[in-house]
Amino acid sequence: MRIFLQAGVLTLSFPPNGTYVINKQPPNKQIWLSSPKTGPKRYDYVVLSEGQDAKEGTGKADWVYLRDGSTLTELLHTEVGVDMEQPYAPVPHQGD
Amino acid sequence: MQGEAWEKADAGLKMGASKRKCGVAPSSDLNHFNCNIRLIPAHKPSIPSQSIVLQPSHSFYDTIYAIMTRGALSKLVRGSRTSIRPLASQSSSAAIRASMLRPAILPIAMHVSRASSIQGPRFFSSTRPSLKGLSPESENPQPTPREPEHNVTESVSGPADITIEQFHEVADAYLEALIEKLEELQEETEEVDVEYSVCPLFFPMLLWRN
Repeated sequence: MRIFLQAGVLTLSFPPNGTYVINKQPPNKQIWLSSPKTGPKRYDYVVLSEGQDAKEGTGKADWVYLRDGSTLTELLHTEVGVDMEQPYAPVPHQGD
Repeated sequence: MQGEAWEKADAGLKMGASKRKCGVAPSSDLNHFNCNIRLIPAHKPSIPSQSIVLQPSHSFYDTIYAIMTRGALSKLVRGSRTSIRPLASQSSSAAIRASMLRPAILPIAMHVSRASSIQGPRFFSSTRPSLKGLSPESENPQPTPREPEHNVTESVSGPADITIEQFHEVADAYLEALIEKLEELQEETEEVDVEYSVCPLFFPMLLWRN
C-alpha cells in the first residue's frame, strides 16, 4: 500500500483493490473519491443532527454522498479498513 | 418412623413452597399449594408402602418431591388414570385416601396438571420441559439485520452551509486524520508507504477563486 498526497490529491495504492484517489474540490465544497471497487463519489459536508435535545455543536458530521446517503467514513471503513469515527470537531450549522 | 417421615415431609413442603414464593398455610391448615410436584417411585423399605412422604429436594429446592413406593404409585395411577385432582375435592379418590394417605396429609391439595398413565417407575412432572435453544437442532433465532449506517443520513436534506474557509478546515482535518489512520495501518501491515508533500499548486487555485 502506498499513499501520496500531492496537489491536494491523496493517492492510495491499496492492493488488492487498486488505487484510490481522494481530493478536495473547493469550488463546490466537496471531497471527491474514486474507488477502484465502487467508482467515483462526490461527498458533501453534512452535519447530522442527533435530535432536538442534542447540544448545539455536538452533532456528528460527515462527508456524505447525497445521491445514496453513504458516507466517506463508511466507505473507508468498508473498503480500506480505517476507522474514521469522529476524527474532527464538526462545524456548527450556519442557520442555527 | 412414620412420625419422623411426616416431619421431614412437612419441612420439605414449607421449604419448597418458600423457595417458590407461593403461599403455604401453617402445617395445621394445609389446604392448597401450587408447587410443582414430582412423583418419584422409590424403594424405601423403612417407609410403609401405604404412605406418601413429602421430602425436600437436595438438588432442586424449588421442586417438592413426593416419594412413594412402587405399590403406592401403582395404586395412585389405578385410582386416577386421567389426572390427579385436588384430593380434598375428589370424591372418587376415597380408595386412595384410605389406603395411601395418612389423615394429616389429606387436606393437602395437589395440583398436577399432567399425570398420564405410567408404566413402571418413571418420572412425571407438571413442568413442561423447554429445550428450545439448548440443542443445535432447535430453532436458532437469527439476529435482526443491522441497518446500514447511511440510513441515518438519508433524512439529511443537504450539505451544511459552510464557508470556503470552513470547508478547507474540515476537509484538511479529515484528510490529515485519514493519513494518520493510514500510517497507523501501515505500521500494522508493514506493507504501506506513506509520502506526504504539500503542493503549492493548490494555492493559485485559491487566488484564482478570490
